[in-house]
Amino acid sequence: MKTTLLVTAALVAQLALGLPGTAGRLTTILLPMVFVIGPPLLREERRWPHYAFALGLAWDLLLEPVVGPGTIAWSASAVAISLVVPLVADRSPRAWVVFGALAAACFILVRHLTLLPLGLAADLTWAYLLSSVVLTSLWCGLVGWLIALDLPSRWRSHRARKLR
Amino acid sequence: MTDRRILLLRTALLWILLELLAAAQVRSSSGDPVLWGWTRAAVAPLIWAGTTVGSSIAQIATVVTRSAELASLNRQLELELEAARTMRRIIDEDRAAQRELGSLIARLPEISSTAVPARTVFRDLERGLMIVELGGGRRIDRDSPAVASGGVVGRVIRSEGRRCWIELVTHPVAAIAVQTPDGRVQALAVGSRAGELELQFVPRTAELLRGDELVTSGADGIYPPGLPVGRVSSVRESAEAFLDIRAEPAADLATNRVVLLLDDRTVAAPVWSQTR
Repeated sequence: MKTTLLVTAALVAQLALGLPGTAGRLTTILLPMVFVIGPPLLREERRWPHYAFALGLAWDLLLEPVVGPGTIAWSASAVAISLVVPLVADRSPRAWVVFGALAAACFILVRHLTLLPLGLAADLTWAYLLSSVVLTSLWCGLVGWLIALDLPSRWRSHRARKLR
Repeated sequence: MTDRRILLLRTALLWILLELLAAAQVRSSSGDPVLWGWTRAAVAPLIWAGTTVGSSIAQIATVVTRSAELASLNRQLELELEAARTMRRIIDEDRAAQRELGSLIARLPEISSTAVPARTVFRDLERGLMIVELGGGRRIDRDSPAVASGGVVGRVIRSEGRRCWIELVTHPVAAIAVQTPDGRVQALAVGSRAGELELQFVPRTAELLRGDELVTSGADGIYPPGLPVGRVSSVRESAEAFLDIRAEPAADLATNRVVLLLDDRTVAAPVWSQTR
């Protein structure tokens, strides 16, 4: 339930920012990407790539002109990450940055390839690709850093020290 | 197959379905869904291949049918050609028979007016039998002599309608009284299964040489005298009182096409012309 709310919030925030590829630099960021690279890095259950389909369908319904390309792109990113993550032992925020960049690049390329035969693909520029990859990886790195900080336990420790 | 491969295969299949779903939603410039264009693009080669194969099969069927018609026509033409060749052979035979008849009549000028020409329609040399067919409806008596361009062929043993059965001189039971043209040697020529004539009752003292000609003597009452019968082919002495003499028939029994049936035997025939 908490994850569903978080995903919904991320999609609403993405909707507020705008569809990737539209005007504005922040629109290139892929906010829901943390829900694709998060589960494998946090050693969650292995069925999480299936949930990427649900994420993609929601993405398509809210942000894409047709249903399909977004679902394919999100599930492709999830599958790519599922293949790569077991090869790396690092689970630090730096891994979040790297896998976020990898997943973002995979998402953009696959989405472009799926839109291309439909005649809906916009021009894919290096600037857009680089911007999206960097911003999304930084966003993932931020989330990974926050998770690594473990703020709830720190807050509970701080309250415990003050109560003493 | 591992779980990962199964997962990847299912995912890939799902991607394909999702792409088709997206193609069904997007419309092309013509207003049709993009999926419809993809379907046409995928089906077009199959339609083209089907059309091409169908056209090829139709052409092949046409060629086969045409070939069968040509083969049938060719067969019909072959039959017609064979019929024409047969007709030509018949005509050639008729012309040859006419020439032979002319030659035969020229040799027997005295009896040609009373003789009846007949065409050979069947012959069996081993059985010594020949069947001839008359031109007109005249009836031929039994034992009428038959002569060809070379000489005596045999005698009529049966006559029905226009057909006459002739016992050849080579028939084992046929016998002709013969003599040399000067009458010094007389004998009885009987047939043999070897297609030759055996001269019987020729004494050892007879002066008969190989190559001597033999003609009918008329002593048998069937054949008029003077008709060529054969030519001596071998003369041997034996332990018996008579010579063992063999002769070849004068007439070519294997190839003659026309015979003359001497119905009126009162006409003597020492008038056999040697002209050829």
